[in-house]
Amino acid sequence: MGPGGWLRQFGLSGARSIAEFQTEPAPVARPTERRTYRIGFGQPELPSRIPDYVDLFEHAPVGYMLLDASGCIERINRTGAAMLGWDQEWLVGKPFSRWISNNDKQLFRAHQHALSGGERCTSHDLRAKNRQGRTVSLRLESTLETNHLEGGARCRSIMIDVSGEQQSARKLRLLQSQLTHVARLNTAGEMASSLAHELNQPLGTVVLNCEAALRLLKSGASQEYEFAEALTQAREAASFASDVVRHLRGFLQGNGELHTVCELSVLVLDVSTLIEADARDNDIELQLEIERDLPLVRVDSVQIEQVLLNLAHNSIEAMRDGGGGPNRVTIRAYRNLPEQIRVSVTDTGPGLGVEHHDRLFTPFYTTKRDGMGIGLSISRTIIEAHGGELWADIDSGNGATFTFTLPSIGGSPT
Amino acid sequence: MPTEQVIHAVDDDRPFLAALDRALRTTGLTVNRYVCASDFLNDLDPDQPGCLITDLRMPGMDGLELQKTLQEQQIRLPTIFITGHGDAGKAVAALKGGAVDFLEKPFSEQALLDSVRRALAKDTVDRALAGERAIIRQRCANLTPREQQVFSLVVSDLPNKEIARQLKISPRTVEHHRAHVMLKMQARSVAELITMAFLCGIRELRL
Repeated sequence: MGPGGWLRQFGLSGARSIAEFQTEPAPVARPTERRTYRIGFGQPELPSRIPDYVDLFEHAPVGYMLLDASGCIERINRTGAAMLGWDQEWLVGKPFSRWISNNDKQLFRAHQHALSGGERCTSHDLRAKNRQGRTVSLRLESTLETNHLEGGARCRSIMIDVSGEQQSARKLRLLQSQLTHVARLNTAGEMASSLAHELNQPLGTVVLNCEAALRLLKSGASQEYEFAEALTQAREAASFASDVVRHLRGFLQGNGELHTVCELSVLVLDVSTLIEADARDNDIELQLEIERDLPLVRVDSVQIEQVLLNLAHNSIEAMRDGGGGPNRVTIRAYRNLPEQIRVSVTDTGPGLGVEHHDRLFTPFYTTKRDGMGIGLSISRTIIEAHGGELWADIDSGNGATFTFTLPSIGGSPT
Repeated sequence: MPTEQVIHAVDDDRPFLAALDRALRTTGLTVNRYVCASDFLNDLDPDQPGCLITDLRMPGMDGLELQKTLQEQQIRLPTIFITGHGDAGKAVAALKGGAVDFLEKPFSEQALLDSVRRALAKDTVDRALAGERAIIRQRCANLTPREQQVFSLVVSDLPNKEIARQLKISPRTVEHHRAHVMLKMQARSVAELITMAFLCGIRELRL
């Protein structure tokens, strides 16, 4: 088969654009294209145009590739070879899966499977390692060659380098999560600051009144009225301060007004959607193990999602800092007692030292460089307000597990 | 003219204001209480010696605005700021605006009394200096224009010959003017004359 022959055979996407060039009388050189091809005018005589078409094929802005039935490269254009970083000749005969990164090999098999399963065209984003060891993200769009009889089905693939695209998407996600973080910090900071202000007012009154009373007592001056007034007002200010604290606790505990009956599995799935991208960016596998037919719970779903999100984020952060090894976050939801559901978040990170264990839930205690140290303490307040418990099992060097319980209200989703 | 020192306390937090009042009053000080800045401004007699204690955060006019208003009206009242929680930016602004002290609630009675004592001492000195200054200005105004020229050159540490050269007059005439300046300013020495020049701003203090 000559170059023209297999070019025609190569078919759909690549050949379609060539066919368009042949039939359209309009000039084809668009301002955005770097190369100008002198084709498409008048009645082309194919044989004499072949070098042009070969040139077009080789230097197309996307990679073209023909894989045989065993998944080995039969033909690849120059752009495609450049994406992998090897010479075209050298690539021929090598299995394409060799360049797919380990984490995506299964996805590539699914890609091939979809084709042999009868799908006409399939597309996946896969990560590949090139010769320089750099990971590139390739969008692979493949079609099965239908008119090839001998030697099983071959597939034609277009490779598009989407690394830049994915990088900007990643950057966007990063910015979004930073924004959320800043917003959370702001809320927490504002809360802490206004709490400090609210508490320092009455405390200032308590201190001044007590000191005045002490001084009056020591001086022996008979100012009984002042003495009694000082103590009365100190007591009033102190109970005002305790009202402030009670009010804050009430605010966090939400009085149960926003509690609704819901399925815990739905909340877990919501949260897993939120952290999926973050986990994938950090090469962390996210695993969900949700027991079937879990009984329903009555909770403030936003708060419980907040707790789960907080625990999952902590796990991801813990593994991001420690390198190597298979990283995995597992969220389990299961029935513990007939009336109780347990949810646990386990990571395969470095775990936490025993020295941190006692203070994990202490407000403003943190092991993170930029942490506020309030995530876990607020999470515990929320869970306890729901009548549950939150604790940590720390297996040093072998990850950490945070578990919380929630009372179920009986009955299972129908 | 009133001579008793009065402490003006401005805070919208009434229980705290009462505690502040008690702490100061039972140690023998006189306190005027105000729950807002405008009440205080309406009531203020600029000639009354004393100091001001004001909350930083208040509804309506806040502490910094009050400080600014006083400055605009050229009322120099030593001011102590108090606040419910540390606000670094505002504290810096307050201190730059001439605040004597910055107290963060809750503070001890001792810290309060120390600050108040410092503020009252500062007010005494400020008022004494202001009186001196007024007298010196008055004496300055009695000098003839030529005498004023000689005055400013004398306090610039210039010898008579140089002053004569600059004013294009004879050294004898300079001596004559100089004697008049000393007499009218009631200065016993050139050093005293220079101190007066500093006080009324004829000579800038260079450190």
